Amino acid sequence: MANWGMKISRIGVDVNNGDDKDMIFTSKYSCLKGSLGTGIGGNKVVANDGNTETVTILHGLNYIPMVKGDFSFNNTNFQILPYFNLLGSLQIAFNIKADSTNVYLTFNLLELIGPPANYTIYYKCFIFLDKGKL
Amino acid sequence: MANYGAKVSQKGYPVGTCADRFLTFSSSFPTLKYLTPSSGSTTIPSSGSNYVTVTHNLGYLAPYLVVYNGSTTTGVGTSNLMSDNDSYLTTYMTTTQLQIEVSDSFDQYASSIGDTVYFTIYIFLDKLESYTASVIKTSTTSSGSSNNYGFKISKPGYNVNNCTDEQLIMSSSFYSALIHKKGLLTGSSVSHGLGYIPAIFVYEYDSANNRIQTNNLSLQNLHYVTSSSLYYDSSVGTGDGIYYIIFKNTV
Amino acid sequence: MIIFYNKKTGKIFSYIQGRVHNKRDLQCNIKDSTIDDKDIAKIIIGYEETDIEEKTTKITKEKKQILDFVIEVENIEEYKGNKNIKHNGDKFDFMYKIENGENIFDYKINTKLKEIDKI
Repeated sequence: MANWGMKISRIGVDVNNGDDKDMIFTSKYSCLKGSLGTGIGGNKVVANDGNTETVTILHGLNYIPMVKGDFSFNNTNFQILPYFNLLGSLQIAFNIKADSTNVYLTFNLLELIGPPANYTIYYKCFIFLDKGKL
Repeated sequence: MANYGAKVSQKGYPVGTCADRFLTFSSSFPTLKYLTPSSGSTTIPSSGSNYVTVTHNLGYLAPYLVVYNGSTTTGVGTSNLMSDNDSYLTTYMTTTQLQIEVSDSFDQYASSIGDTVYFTIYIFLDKLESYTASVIKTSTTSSGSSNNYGFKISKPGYNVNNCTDEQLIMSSSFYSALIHKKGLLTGSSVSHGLGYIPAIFVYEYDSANNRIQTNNLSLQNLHYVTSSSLYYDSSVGTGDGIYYIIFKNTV
Repeated sequence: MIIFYNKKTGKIFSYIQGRVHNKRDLQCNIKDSTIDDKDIAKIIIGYEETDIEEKTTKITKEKKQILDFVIEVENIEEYKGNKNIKHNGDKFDFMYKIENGENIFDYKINTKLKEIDKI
């Protein structure tokens, strides 16, 4: 069967005989594709009382997508979700998951020793069109 | 020297003048290409570890994503990227195989010993060797048609005229991950020069075993990214650096 | 861009980036567990794609040299395309500012005037 498609090689690579991995793009292999605009951002106030707070995003895909998220305490230094750690006396459990309807970003802070406080958590989330479950 | 090539912008952005990060496709910036995704499963042991192993035989270290889909107890209707419900996944990628480790404490607060656990696995074709894209345009402009011009390519076997969005290899309607910079970071930071916070993938490098890996203890504190640089704390974890991919896209 | 905010306080808590939004983008809801669903509102800045076909005329002008004369040629192209609805065009400058690096959380929605004010 004829192999129709297109490919574009990197600079210095002959498109006719270069390896697929050296192509900028080839229709032989899928790329990660984004859904819901070009990304989602937000912020959330979370108390350090051990209660889980959730941001719920209706994604409208009717299947389970792959989702990726990052967070920051200061809107400057971002780290990949999930994040499970103990920083000083602050226990942190941040996660991101999706089902066939929603994406859920969950934030749980538990202060083990110190006083009650609220933290503003900045998040960014990317919902792929690519399936999170085949 | 003339710069030949092609580029397609996202809807609403003028292709001639928009910033690099608003392009869906450009012959100047590589995309991340994935092999056919696969599924895998194993059981949570009462002691020790079980492994899901995917043999890729690429002959080099390649980026990957593993999605945890749930267990016998939780059901399999979810996707957690690179984590279970309370911890980062422990995974290892060598030049021939990807392994997902499932220990007796896997998903310990949600699943049970003896449960079958399920995964969806993406392995990318691209190498993790050093690469830096040029920064062609950084700021965006106001003009741009809202009309939907563009192109789309369907996966083999699917009719491009009526397939679903997910069945496309690429479409100018949806933006794709364009690579800005990748390589191995062993020092404290690498500058990306983008001026905004980009999306990233990171993997810890274990040179003794020639593999890349992820696990909860080290990956959490190994790195963070700002609008200027990716930072690495070599005092955390057991590896010898982090392999990273920095994308043109913001998260 | 689709901005989600607390309509009691005007505080922006989430947003979807982009200039042209399809049905899926517009049907998206973002909920925050600390905000009552009934207090969540959204504002669209940009274009909404529709399935409505409309005739569009595109006019371009081109200067051509013929012998000693420079003439201007007008090309008129008519085509059918999908109608896109423009939302809050007066706020496009705000959208460009955010795209170019300003922090969206430095702003809030003036719920009375439906304007976007810097905090």
